[in-house]
Amino acid sequence: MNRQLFIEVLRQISSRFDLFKSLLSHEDYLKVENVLVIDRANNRQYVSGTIYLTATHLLFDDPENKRQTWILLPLISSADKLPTTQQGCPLRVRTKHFLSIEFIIPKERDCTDLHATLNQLKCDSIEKLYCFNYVAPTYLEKVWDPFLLATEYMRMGVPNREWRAETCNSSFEMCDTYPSLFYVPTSTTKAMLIASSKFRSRGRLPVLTYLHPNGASITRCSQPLSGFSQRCVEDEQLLQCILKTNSQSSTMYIIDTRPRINAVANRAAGKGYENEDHYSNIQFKFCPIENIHVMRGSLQKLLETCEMKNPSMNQYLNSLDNSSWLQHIKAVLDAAIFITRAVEVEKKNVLVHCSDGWDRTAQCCSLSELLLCPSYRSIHGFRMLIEKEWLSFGHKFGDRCGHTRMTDSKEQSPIFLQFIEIVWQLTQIYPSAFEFNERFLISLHDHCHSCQYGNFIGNCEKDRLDLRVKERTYSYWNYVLQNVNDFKNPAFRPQSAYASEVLIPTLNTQTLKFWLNMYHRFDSSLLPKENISNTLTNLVDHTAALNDHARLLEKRIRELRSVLNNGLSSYENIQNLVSQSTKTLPDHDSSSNGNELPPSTIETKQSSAPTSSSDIESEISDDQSPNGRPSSIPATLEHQSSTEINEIPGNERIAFELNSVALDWRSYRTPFQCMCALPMDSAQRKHVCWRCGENFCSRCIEHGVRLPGLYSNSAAPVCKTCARSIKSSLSMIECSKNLTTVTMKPSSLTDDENKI
Amino acid sequence: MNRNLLEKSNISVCPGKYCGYEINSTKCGACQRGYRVNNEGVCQLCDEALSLYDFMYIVFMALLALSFHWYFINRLQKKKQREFTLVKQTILYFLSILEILLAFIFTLLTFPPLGKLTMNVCQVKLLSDFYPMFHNPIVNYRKKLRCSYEVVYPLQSAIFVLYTYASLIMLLIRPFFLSIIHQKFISASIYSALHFYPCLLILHALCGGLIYVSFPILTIISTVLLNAIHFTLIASGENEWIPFVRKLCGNIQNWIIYLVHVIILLCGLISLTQFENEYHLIMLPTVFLPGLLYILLYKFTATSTIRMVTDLIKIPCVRNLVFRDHLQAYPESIINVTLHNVIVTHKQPDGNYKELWIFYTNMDAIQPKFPMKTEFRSQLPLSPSLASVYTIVLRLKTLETCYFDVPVLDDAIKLAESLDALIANTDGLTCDVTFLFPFCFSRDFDVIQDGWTAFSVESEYSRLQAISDEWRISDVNKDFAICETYPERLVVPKSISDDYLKRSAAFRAHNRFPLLCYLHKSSKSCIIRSSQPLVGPSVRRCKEDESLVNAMLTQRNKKGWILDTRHPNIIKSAQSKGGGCEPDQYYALWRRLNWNLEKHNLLQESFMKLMDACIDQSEKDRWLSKLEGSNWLLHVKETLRAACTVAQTIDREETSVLVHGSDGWDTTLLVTSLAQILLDPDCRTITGFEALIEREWIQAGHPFRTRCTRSAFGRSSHGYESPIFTLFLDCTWQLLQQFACSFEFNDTLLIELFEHAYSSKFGTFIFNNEKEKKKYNGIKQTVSLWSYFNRPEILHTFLNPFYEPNPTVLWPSVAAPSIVLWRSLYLRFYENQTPQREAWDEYLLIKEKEMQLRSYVNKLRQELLELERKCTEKTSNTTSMIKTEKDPVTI
Repeated sequence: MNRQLFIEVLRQISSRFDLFKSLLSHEDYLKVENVLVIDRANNRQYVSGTIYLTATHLLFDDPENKRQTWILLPLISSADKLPTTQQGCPLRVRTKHFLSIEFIIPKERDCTDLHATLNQLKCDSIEKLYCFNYVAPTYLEKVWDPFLLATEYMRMGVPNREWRAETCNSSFEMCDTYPSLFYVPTSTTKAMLIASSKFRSRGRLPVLTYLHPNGASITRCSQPLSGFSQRCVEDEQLLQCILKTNSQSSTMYIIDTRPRINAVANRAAGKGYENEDHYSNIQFKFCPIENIHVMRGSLQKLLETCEMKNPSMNQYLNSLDNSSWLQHIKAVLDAAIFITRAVEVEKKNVLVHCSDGWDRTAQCCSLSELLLCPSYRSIHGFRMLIEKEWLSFGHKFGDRCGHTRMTDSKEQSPIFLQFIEIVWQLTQIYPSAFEFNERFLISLHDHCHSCQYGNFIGNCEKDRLDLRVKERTYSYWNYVLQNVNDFKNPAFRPQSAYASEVLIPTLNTQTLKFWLNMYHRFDSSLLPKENISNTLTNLVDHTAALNDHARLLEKRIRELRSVLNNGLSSYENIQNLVSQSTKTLPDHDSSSNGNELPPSTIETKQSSAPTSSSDIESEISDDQSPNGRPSSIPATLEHQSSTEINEIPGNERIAFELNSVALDWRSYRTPFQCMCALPMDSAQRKHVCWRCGENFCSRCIEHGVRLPGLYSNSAAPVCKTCARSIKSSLSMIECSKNLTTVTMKPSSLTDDENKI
Repeated sequence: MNRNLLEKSNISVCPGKYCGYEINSTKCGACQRGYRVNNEGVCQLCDEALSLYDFMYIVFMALLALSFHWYFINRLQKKKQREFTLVKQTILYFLSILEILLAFIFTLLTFPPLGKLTMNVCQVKLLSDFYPMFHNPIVNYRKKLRCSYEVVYPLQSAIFVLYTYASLIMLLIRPFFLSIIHQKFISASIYSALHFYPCLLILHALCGGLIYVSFPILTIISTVLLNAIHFTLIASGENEWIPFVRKLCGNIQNWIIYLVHVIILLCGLISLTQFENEYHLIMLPTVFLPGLLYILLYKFTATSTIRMVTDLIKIPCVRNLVFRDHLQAYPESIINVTLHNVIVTHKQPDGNYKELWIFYTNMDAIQPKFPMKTEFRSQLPLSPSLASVYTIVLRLKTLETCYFDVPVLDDAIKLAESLDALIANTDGLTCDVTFLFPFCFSRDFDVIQDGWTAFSVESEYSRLQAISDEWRISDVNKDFAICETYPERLVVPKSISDDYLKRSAAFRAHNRFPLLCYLHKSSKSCIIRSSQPLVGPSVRRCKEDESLVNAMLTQRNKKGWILDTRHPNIIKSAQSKGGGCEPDQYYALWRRLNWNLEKHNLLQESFMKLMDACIDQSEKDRWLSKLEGSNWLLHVKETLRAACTVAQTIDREETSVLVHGSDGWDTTLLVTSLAQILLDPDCRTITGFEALIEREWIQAGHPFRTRCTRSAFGRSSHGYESPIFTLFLDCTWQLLQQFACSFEFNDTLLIELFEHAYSSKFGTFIFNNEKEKKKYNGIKQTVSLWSYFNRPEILHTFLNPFYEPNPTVLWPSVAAPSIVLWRSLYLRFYENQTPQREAWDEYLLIKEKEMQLRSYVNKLRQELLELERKCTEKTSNTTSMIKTEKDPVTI
């Protein structure tokens, strides 16, 4: 195909969006025209458009509806050629974030080509993953906020009298899937640990993972190589040491998260579970969670349910039930709740293991910690939880997500997805207990598959060290930090009774819901047309804008008052005004101790982030269709700092300031398309321009414009037209300012004279 | 030896009370018939005149037989209502009077003096005169003298004779009557008489003396009592004077019965006083007193309710039971069973006692679980560790479940029985509506806007007038003359006269002729609802109905749609029974569409299965498949689809739709009201939604009382209950959760409506239709739910903080994944709702803060502009001042 033509087309589109910069730099492309896509809700409706295939993305452009579908190539889980029909050759593309799209390609050759290319483009080695080539927008830097396991344990009060750090795994010789540092009871010896690690599958010996304030702890390990009669005295001693760290209970739980039959079957292979005759003072319990293969099959069935075309109610429910997905979810959550009860109510130590101790164990441990400890329910805490339980202790993200073509498809399993979904279920039960929202969970899930960031590459800590991930890739957490407002739960109430305590939900089968926004998120016709959570985020943003603006107005009023009173009683007036304003609106005070962070603290958080504050000025655009056009924010805005307090604002300036912040925002619902004619539906996040109050899609908004109407001088999202007009009027103000200062000089002179 | 002794003492008196010497002999013994012993011990002929008291005694016995006759005749009437006309009944009554009268006369004639209407009697002196056999003397403690004879001649035998005559005469007369009217069942009255006469005879033989002594008192007491009972039976259910008196006087039978009562009372009085002096005559008018007194004091007795309910309460109070729901348990609770409710006093965790009132109207079913084995009990949630506990599971209509663990078996059984009976007592059809709590509830708040008058036809009409002037208000249904289930004032097309309406009504089932329910603003097309036309197997037609329907087809150039909410098969079977659907050839301007919406039993079944799945605590059963099995979501989906179809026709196709099912008050309303929510933005406000329910459900005659008798757990005696309104609320909720910002209200309003529909202290949902409301004077006697809702403190809880008026038509998704279970209703008692409520409060705070800030910023801006204006004025002043000041300096 003609390369010239392709570039031309891209230019045409880029007149609509200037996102194609990254695409233009790539050499390989493939273009297929007149492709039909069947609307999933309505079988008879077709959409025709063009497919572009580049090195990183598959793009379907539908000029009629002005809709574009971007698919990041690493997210594609399968591309299947279906039997040819009358209209053409169908190609079904399924992605790991549950998009299933069926292209009908008129020519069979094109279809075969596309199919082959898609399969070839699938990464064949870990070194070629997307994250190593990914160029992020400039506001993201290759800065990794260092996660130190030790600080996290320090927060729990470890090391202490009972627990000590063990460094014998510093070069991963004892266990290659464990972190280099782990925590064991103080009474253990190194020999004991070595012997125990040899007795445990893959050397994953029992180590501390969570210490509850009441002294009970959660430890994790893998299954013992006990077989039918093997025993290891050191391992038994290690367990006794763990037991003795908690003086409140004479026994401890060993929880095997497998069904009993699986555990018994493992015995035949020389593995198995702890024999109660050999380990004294333990209570053994099975929590029947199925293995990764069952879970994979269950998800497969679930996705088939989602792909059903126009099912009847009974077919749909039946199919959902047959997938058993929610039952598996419940099994995991039940196990987590059991551990939570054991730690909180019974005050007993719990040792959790499954086969290898990196799937079900990770799920159960992290979930029970989430229930036990309120600090894990913040965004930062949740990051810590994932770093600790999943990344450090070696959940095999590479294998489970199938990042490369080389991984065995039998190793793939939605273990992390299940964890994410259970967290979501918990946010549904306790809506105000979690700092993050649904969007955060979905984004987290997507990015552990997308390979855009280096965090979830490889199978364990050692892999990531070997790959020098921290030097070569971007960090997902950095991305989250930069967009933290998007990921906040507006209803988060950290001091409420639910959020500040241990959560022990009473779980019925009826409690669990189907996660429509996860599995059906690309079927916007199925989703609720009006979304409360987005509206809420919008409201919170508006409150922040108004709050900021109000402070500026107060300041201006003070200034004008002082001018009016000619300094005679200006000080008193200011005092009065301040007291008056605080009376009329106590929100300024309440917001600081209030329910959500006041806007100023959000801003300081942003600027305290590792990226320098100048980065905020750059545009934050949709990360999946990256472009990094740095916006040129004039530094002239600097003049509006509080040092200029003596400056009396001119009329034009006040008018300009008033103009620059919208008092009323457009209702979140009404615009069904952005100014750029991109249709917007309820599932998409709409951004509001703080100046004109209109809603825009993520591509038409410029982040980090300093609005003169805001007191805090912080960056705000503004639409492109407004950004331009602000720039132009700023220069105008600059000119007029000179004029006003000239005209105002006499008055200031008189001020001085009066004072004298 | 003895003999000698007696014979010797000839002059001596016979021993015993009743032994005497015959006139011609000296032998001591019983007197002859017609004689009685006198003070000297000699038998004397009875020749005293019949006293009034004795006469009344015979009359009383005759009347006794007569009342038995009448009772059995009356029973005949109950058995065979149709064939037994009033005339025949009256004839039978008179026949029985005739028989008794004849028998009475014959009896008088029979006894000496023969052939005269009087008798010679021996005076009754003592009670023992009736029982001489108990007074046989024993001479010298050796030999008994038998002196038993009829001392009170002929009072004793006269009754035997009377009854014999009566039965004989009856056997002569009645078969004759029977042969005339050819109705065999009347012979039952003869057979019953043949049974009760012997009984009466035996009664008389055994207790004749007792009756003789006590009959005046007996008569008076029993007539007063019977009179009261009779009045109560007539009056049951009425608590107003006028209808009661009308009911009392309107029936000829009542008059007769009352008259008989008066006569009997008179007899009793006469025999008691015997007119010994003239003062006794003055007492005669008092016979009317009991009846009059009852009528005057009628209001204060309310006999019907007290008699019914108090009988049902077997145990008024149970102590020391454990009261628990799904989330908590309260030991040492006390339960009090009262007339309207059960009061559970339970101790709160903070030590205070709290009372929970559960009304019987809110109770759905009672399931006593008295396990024999302990493991059975462990299945129940939160079961306390008591040694022996008898659990009563009380399911409420609001879908809550309460458990009472009673320690004593006897108490538990009694409690369960009384509750069971009391629940059955509130059954919609059998129970009297005035007994329901709304009639006893007195308002405890100030009414700001009276809900009964808030939504009138006039206001609706004026709204309509703004869109189109082709409509008028008609009074054709005044006093519910045409249709019982429509309101009195109706909006009809201007071009159609009342006459046409009447004829169209005659052509529709239950006279529910086609009626406008919504007129769309933009397209001027309308939704019409009616009941099925009475086409019948012979395919009748009614031209008036056709022109009425066509007059509502406002868009002349387009064909309208007739949406039938039934399955074609059901239509077919309805047609054979006289119903059917509009034939195409007569309704040429319309096209037909069938939509199968279930109702009645299937829907109720589905609702029960749904709740069964929701409260199921067992781990094994697959909840989703149970949910699927209930088919509830399927019904929700189908209903929404039907409503969407109607909305689509109105808005997109711009043509009118006529919706009907069979009766036009169940599924029809479901579709029309939902379509209005989709189409009309006004219906999505709180007032608009209330108006919609008032208009489309209450005034449109949805039989709330019969439909909401039982909710998901119980079964009523009649089987007419059906959760149609619940389905409507569920569908509305589905819309609400898909369009979270387009509704002024939140789901609290919907849940409240659900609860009030099933059990309420307000009168809005307790009547089947407007006529019934008027009949029971519901507007004055009860309080409207809307009066309660439309107060700021209540309204506040219903507000949706995210509401932004949405003028467009809603197009919801009806795909299977979009239809979700309404957890906040069905599971609200089985899951902890506090976190959700807290989150909601948080949302409210956020919204409130935003609003406050907005107005604050607005205020600041104005202030700033004002200051700025002042400032510029001042600066211009000062500059001029400076100029003036400077000028002299320069000079």
